[in-house]
Amino acid sequence: MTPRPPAFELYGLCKRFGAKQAVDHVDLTVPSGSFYGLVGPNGAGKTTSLTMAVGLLRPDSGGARVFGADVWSDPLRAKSMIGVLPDGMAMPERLTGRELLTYLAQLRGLDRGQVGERVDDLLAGLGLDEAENTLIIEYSAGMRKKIGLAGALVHAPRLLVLDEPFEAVDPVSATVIKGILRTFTDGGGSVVISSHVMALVEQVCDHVGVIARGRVLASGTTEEVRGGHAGLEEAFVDLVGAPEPVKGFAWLA
Amino acid sequence: MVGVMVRMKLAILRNGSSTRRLVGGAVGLVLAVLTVLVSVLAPPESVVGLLATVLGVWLVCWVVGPSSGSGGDESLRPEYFALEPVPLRTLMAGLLASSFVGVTVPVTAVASLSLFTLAIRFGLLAALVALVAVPLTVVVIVLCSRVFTAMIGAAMRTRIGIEISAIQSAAVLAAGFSVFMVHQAVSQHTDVFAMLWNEGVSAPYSTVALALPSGWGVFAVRAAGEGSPLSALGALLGLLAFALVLLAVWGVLVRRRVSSPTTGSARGGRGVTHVLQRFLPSGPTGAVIARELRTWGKDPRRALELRVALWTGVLVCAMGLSVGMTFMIPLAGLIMVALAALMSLNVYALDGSALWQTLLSPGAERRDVRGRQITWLLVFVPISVLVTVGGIVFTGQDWAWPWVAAVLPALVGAGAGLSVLFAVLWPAPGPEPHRHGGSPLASGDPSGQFTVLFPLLLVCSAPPAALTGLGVFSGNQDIVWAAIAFGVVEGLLLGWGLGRVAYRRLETRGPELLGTLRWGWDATAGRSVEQTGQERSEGAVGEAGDEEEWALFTRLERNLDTLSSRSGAALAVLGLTFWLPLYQGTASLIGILAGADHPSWHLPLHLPGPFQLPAAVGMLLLGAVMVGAMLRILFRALPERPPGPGNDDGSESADPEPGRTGTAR
Repeated sequence: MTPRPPAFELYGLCKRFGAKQAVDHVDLTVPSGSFYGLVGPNGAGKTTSLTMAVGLLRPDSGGARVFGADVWSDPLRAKSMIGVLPDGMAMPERLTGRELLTYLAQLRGLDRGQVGERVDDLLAGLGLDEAENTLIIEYSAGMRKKIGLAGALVHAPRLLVLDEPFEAVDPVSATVIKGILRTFTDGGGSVVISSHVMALVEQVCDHVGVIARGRVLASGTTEEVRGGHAGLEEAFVDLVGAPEPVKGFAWLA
Repeated sequence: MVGVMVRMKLAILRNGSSTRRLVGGAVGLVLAVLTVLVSVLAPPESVVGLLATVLGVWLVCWVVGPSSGSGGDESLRPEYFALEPVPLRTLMAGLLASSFVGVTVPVTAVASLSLFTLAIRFGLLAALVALVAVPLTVVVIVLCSRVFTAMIGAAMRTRIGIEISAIQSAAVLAAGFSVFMVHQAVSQHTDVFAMLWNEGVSAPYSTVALALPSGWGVFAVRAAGEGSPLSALGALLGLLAFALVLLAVWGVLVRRRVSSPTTGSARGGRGVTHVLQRFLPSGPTGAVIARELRTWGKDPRRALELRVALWTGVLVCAMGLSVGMTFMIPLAGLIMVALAALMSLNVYALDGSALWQTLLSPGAERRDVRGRQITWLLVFVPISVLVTVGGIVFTGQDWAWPWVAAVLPALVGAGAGLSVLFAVLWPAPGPEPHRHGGSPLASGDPSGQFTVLFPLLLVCSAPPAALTGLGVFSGNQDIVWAAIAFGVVEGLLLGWGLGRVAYRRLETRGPELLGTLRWGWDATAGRSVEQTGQERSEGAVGEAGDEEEWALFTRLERNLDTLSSRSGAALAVLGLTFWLPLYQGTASLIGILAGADHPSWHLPLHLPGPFQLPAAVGMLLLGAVMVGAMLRILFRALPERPPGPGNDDGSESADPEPGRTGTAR
């Protein structure tokens, strides 16, 4: 029997924007069933890497595989297994929350019964049932994250790729989302999230990858990456390099 | 603060693309110089009315342009300064001053200099009046535009406001179509341009032109020249007062925009679209249609465009009835369909990066394109057919049946195919829909696309129309039936085939389109696009064998996919101009054959007798060569195995250093 392929595999990803090498040979392996946290400072290339890996941005070289299916050469099989929450992209803004989820479910070819059941569950589970008749364009930032997450879940994918899923989400909803994602990984699903909040990643993720200046600096289980440091934050600062301490500005007394 | 805002605008212009500004500025400058020439060269008895009319056209373009185009210049938005501790007056001054930086206002200022050149003909006092009138006229024109656009923006928050805005834009379009058709009808008998030039605009119209704010400066100059300085002073004071009123109204609108939300409260699912949705299949394509129907109903931008197309048809009918020119009425449905295609050629850009959901759903690209096409047919076609059939029956014009039966299907198919193809191939990206800021009208500016698509629609409807003409004038009923069959088949083929090209393009180049929609053309029209294009072309060599069946459409796909930037530029230039020689040649030929002795704007007719016919034929040949060149770029055959990268394109071989382009990529 061949070994099970990893849930998500990024190999040799490169992307250059003008003079800037935004992503420089990124290799990452997300084992099946893991809760993977991708961390890095602002502008490190996290979003660019994930956008290329799910098939929304063409890499200069390299690619990604979802359970062995190549995102760029076998897109139909790969895309049927992933659910994605990109950061800051538009949605069909003039639909209500319920209409959006119904649309996404039908687009994936679910039958009428499944559509109704899943949409009801997601709206209630993510606390969106009060906003179900509000147009997406009127949603707050946190609600956009939640409806986006619901959209990523509706076709029951085996891998979730979530870009900054907890940004702007209130603490109560964040707890709910963590619970949903944990249940998902406990049931055999795999999750990749990007974040720059170390404490959160340390709390929920069992695997971590550290990206800075477009390169992978460390990857592995949370313990491995933490190494001898007291916490992930210290390990991260050690890897990325601590900035010169700024004492404050003289004119801002 | 005002200086800071002007410097901000300059910085934004410096960081943006200059090509559009250069082209727009050059065209505008030519028009401005022509305006000045009118004031210098027109005969004394007609010059005042003519200049007032021309300046009136400038005003109308300023007022209507932004709301029917991209929502006006939004590079500095009032919201940006909402938290600055400055009084509203300073903010308004800054916004006004910064809107003078750019291309449009200087061009308009040049056009307004025509007041001064007119005044020189009237003497010293008139020249002094013009010195005041020129800047005041420019300010009033710019303010009229700003206030009108802001009012439309505010009105767009309500349903009735959308309706009113649509009727206004449609009235201008319908008037344009009607004036054109009336001009064509009248110019069979007289030379309208020579008449206008020598005798001036006739009384009621010249009075209207002088009564418009753009005409007050002309009025003042004439009054000063004819020795009534008090009237001149009155007109100048009137301009000044009007400018102040406009400034105050604009201030109120800006304050309201800064301090209130952009969307109304949530609306329930009522209306036609809701009823229609119950009958849709619950599969993926049905889901796309439901989404599109919702969006056509609720997105103010799309709702406006939908209504502009429909109202224009209705108003053409109304104008035809009111002036007794009923031959326009059966054509109203055709105008509706053509406008519907123009109005929906930018749908992907209007939805912005929402495209990612389509790209991430397996096989959704085809459904998205087909769903959009079906929705377009559902939204626009029944009402166009109704207007046309109703119009023919109501006015009893049975002559129109064969023409409409042949041209309408062809035009519907061409509209359904071309609009979605343009949306995928050549979007005009604007601000993301969820980041519109305070202006629901803000969007990319598709005027270049309009100028290419409109003549294309005419070309598509020409063959069935010509065939119908042949049948009707020769009295051969069989040819009439053949024309109708031709129109139907052409429509089906265009709608199906161009839609196929569009979704195949979306499947292969979806990520690039997404990038263009998110970051604009500048960010994506770079190296990697051409690189992937070449890879595709090499891949296509292998798979071409099994696609013989629809070889033409396959070729079109491949050639669009591998279009080099030089061929793309050539295609754009040809697409913008090819109809000019065709129109000139056809109109001149008809003029020569029908013996019309008024050359109007048809250049060959201005030549001495013996040269007219060759010149007209030459024009037609030039147009045919241009069409041929476009077809060659679009449908050129698969090259033999390219000897090296960069040599797979005929135009590339003209490169002095072919080897260098290969390595540069």
